[in-house]
Amino acid sequence: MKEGRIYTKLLRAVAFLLCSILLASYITVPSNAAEEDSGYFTVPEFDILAPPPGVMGFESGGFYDYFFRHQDKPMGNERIELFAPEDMLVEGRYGTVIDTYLEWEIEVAESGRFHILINYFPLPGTGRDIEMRLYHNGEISYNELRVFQLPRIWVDERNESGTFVTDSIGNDIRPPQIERPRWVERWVSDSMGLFADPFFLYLEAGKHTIRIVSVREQAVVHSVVLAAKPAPPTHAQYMRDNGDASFINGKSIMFLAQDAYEKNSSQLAPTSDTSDAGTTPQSPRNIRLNTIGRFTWWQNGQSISWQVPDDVEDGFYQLAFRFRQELGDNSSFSYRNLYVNSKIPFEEARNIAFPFTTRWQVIHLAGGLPIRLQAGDIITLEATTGEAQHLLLQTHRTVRSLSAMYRQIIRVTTPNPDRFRDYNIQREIPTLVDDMRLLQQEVHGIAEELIRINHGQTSSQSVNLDLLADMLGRFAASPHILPENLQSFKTRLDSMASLIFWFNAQPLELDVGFILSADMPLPPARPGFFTRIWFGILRLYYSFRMDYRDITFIDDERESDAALRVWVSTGRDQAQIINRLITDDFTALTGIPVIVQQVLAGEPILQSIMSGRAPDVVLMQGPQQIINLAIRGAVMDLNRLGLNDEIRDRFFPSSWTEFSYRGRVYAIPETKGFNMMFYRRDILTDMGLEPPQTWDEFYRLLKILQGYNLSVGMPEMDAGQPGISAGIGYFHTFLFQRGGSIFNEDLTRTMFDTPVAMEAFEEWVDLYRLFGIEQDINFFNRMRSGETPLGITGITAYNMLAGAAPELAGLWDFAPIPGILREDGVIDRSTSVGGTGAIILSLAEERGLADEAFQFITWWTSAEIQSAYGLEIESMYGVVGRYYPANIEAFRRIGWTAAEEETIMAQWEWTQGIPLVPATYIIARNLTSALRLSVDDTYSPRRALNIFNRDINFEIERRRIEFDRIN
Amino acid sequence: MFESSAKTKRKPMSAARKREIFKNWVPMYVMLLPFLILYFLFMFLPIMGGAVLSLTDFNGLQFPAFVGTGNFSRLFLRDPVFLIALRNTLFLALITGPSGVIISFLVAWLIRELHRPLRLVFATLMYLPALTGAATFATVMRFIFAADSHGLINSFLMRTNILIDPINWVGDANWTMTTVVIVSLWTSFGIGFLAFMAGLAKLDKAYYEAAAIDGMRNRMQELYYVTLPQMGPQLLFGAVMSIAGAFTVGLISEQMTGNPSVAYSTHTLMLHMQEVGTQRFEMGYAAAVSIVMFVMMQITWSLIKRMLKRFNAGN
Repeated sequence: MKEGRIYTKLLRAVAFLLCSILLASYITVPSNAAEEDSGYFTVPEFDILAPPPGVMGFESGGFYDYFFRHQDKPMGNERIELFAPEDMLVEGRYGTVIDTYLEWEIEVAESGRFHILINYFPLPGTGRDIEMRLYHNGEISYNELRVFQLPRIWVDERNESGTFVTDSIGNDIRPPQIERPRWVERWVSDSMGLFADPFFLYLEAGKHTIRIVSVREQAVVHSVVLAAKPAPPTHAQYMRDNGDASFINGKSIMFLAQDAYEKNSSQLAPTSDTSDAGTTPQSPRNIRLNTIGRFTWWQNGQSISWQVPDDVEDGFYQLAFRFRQELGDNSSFSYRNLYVNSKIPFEEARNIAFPFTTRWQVIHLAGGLPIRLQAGDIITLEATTGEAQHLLLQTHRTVRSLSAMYRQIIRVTTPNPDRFRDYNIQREIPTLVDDMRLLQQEVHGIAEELIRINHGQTSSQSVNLDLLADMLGRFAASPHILPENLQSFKTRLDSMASLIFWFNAQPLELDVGFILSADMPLPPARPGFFTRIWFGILRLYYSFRMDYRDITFIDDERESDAALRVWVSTGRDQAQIINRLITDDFTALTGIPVIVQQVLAGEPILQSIMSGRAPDVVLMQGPQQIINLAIRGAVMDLNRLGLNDEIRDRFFPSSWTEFSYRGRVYAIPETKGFNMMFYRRDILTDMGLEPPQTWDEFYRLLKILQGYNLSVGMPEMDAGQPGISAGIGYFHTFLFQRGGSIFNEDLTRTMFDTPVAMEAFEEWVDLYRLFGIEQDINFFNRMRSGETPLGITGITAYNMLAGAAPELAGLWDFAPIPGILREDGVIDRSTSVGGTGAIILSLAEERGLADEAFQFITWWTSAEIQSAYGLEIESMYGVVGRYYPANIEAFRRIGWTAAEEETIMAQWEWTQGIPLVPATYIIARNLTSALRLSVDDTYSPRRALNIFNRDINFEIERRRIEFDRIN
Repeated sequence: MFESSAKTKRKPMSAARKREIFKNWVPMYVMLLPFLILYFLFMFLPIMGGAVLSLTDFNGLQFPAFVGTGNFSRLFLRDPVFLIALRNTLFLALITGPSGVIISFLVAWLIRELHRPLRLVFATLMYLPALTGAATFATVMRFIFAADSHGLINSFLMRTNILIDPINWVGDANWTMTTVVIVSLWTSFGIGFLAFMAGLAKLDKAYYEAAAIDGMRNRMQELYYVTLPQMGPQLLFGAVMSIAGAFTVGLISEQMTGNPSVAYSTHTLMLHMQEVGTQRFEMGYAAAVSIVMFVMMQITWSLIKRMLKRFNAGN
């Protein structure tokens, strides 16, 4: 029909029109992102397109620059000895302890480079390495001289017979490391392994002033020597020099690696290998400390020394070790320098490579070249980055450049670029393509070098580097594909940054060493097949017989009944430390026997009380758990046991708040944590910014940062507990700083319906809702990459940043959180504080041990014990395991620098404790719900707070009635 | 079992007959005894204990105080969280229960169409999530559903511009249910799936031919008139497993969104019981919740049995 045809034609025409419009929209010229008026994000002052300083450069003021400036100059040929005043006589030598500084005026005859040797004797302190600073003509020549480390000398603390202390079932206990100081001569060198030779100073002919200052810890200084470090001779020359010695035949002498003569780090304690039958000594039944180094001997500069046994005649021998190196990668080597009597005997004794092997092996050191040894000599192996040293240096530099480039790029594209948008990135960043090509070559060079030092073997690291180089090449050729591939670029960059950690790490585990005559064969690495099978069978059998949970075991029945039972929920090592502290100190002084039992964290204490197998004292309990028990009358009120002002004054008043209710005190504080502000000093300085002191400054800084597509880290999600926010501390901050409080006077209801609380809550919600701060980030990773150069989070972030981010050394810092400027000019930095405490269960009273239990927890939370515990934990795990005691005095002794301590105390003084109520759990829960529902705009913040506040108060009321009924 | 004899008058039993009965039945009971003892000790007694506890107020330390139906009245009348949990449980039970069974059956049915080697591969792949167990699976899922903008799903969606800001899958009350449903469905290929695979393998082809002759036109009719009736026992089995699982749903929710989840958005009866019992330490109340769950399961179970009677004519 005619209408039908016109109708279809019309339809077709319309369809055609729509399609062509759709197609045409794809061809339109894309808008230029940079010309948009961002309105809220107007970026003041800075030229957004200028590259930040520092791209393609290394950290200015570091040794790297100094090194390259002066590396072609000749070494000095003088030996300039600067003696300290002879105030003290220690072990046959004179010296002095640095009070303010030591200064010398010198005259140099001929210009040259001089290494720096320090002759010192460590004095007892907190056990940290000694740190000093060196000025040359009143200036610090490079950053590394601002703080350099001088290690101490450590030995195991053992029985008189030299054996290890065992626990009650016969397992060896890790011996504490004690100092056995002696005079040490040490060349000031790089602790990160970037430079093989020690640091040097370039001194022109003429007068100079050298001054050294003590930064941390004390030592007796005998002298400072400026001289070129003598290079070791070749082996041929070495043999000529020792022509008077002869080859001794037929000797094969074994010494145990764990019986070290001395070590220079407190982390190098003996370790144990329980699974191999060939390790000496070995037991299928007990844990024996039969190796050394396992997880702990990995840092450049750590060394272990052994003494050559008495039955070794003077002569040439080969050295061999039974070793295992399985903590690296399939193709990686660990390197060691060999010293005999503190000198490297010959050039070939440097950078001895230990290959990766999951099974124990025996190899000759230095390829079996003969070494002259006699009884009493000290053999030392020192970890070094070896062949990877220059690689490490180059990687450091390249990673810094790549990170800076990444930040440059995200300034234009944001960390999550829109793949349908054309950023014209090469126009925004004119130097981008050239920089990329340069970096591509650098990365490729690193990959090739890596393959070379691994003897031609590729590894996952070298493949990753090649992929990164490819990627850079592709980006340089076609910059427009960069935005959509930014994520994978970032991932590769992150894995390259972790390479620094890999290169730095030189793990090695040693079992026994051999002094062999040249004619003796290498001893076998593993015992025979049947020995191994039999060992395995025995181990299986004993695994059913032995109970490894008990830390203490008291044989006498009667004594065991009268003993105090203490539960700790930490790892085995910590529990052993606690047990040792108790035996050595508490039980020795008071005579009260104590049984320590190690339980899992969160172990049901209530259930244990119900079943009648509860302890008397429980350590490390959080306030929630404490009030749960208190509400049922299961915890004793410490006031009744004699809590006095002396004990109270050990802690800040805010530390007690969360353990008290209605005038009763339920726990003594053990650890405490609160928020602090961490920031990347380098990134902020690059941008000309200062860390904010007040919240006004903070928001201004946030605006600027967001203009560069960076952000601020204030995470509030805890992946392990999605329903309970980790950011309630922020709400407390806003609330307390406005003068608000959580509860009313008699703790019967919350004050969340007051205007102050509403404002604080709104500000908290606005952080995420209005300012777009991300709720869930990995704070540590973002700090590393620089995406959030500033963040506010718990103080324990210090551990990760200081311990697990070697490439950030010196680039970050922390400060008190922003506050509100009051009329009297003081900045109010109030925030909340929380932590754990030690409690006494009511069962102790029934058993008649209440007073003993009180004595115990007062002893445990005293300054000496808490600091001893903290220092031991840190000496075992490094700074990653730093402990934060609530005891103020103990905190000071843990080993912060003076500046760090001042910063922390400045914040701690402003903390307020959170009062305890029986319904504590409901508050965190409901605040979280209110926050989340406000952030996604389901409710307005005030309405959300109101709704959930009613529920909170209802629950508080219910619980309060229950509490009054029982108590 | 044994053929039931007609109800004739019984003769008095001779001694020989008694011995015969003894020889037949007693060994069976003896062999059942271990199981019966364990069942009694670990299933029956605790359930009875729970029923008794539900009438008390027990805080874990003090002796329980009798409150009669106080717990139940509080549960139904004064506990908003219970109602949320009830709603969530029914919702999740509906999704993971029947949907799980239906999806399992459909996937099993589809997989049967493939060649034998491919069938093996796909069946294994489908059953894998159930094999690994909910806890380990949830760990992987939590990583995928991370709320971080660099999390797997978030970064993918942001890169392809479906999202601008990351979604908080496990911490935002509007999204938690979606997350839990997706993960639950993924793990719902359980043992029921295997039962269906086995059952479908043993179907008698003759019925299909007969139905074709009788005028059956397409696969749908085939499914409803021929396949499903023969799958009676398997359907029953699948239903049993899913019913039991559906009311005790909560593990996935707990692993993914925590207990309690934000604004109780994925709170289920099971989690409510756990939370009240282990976090608030109100044992009597928790027992009351469990009794309510038990009753609900019983009712649903009889309903299902009635529905499936159609396919289980022989039984």
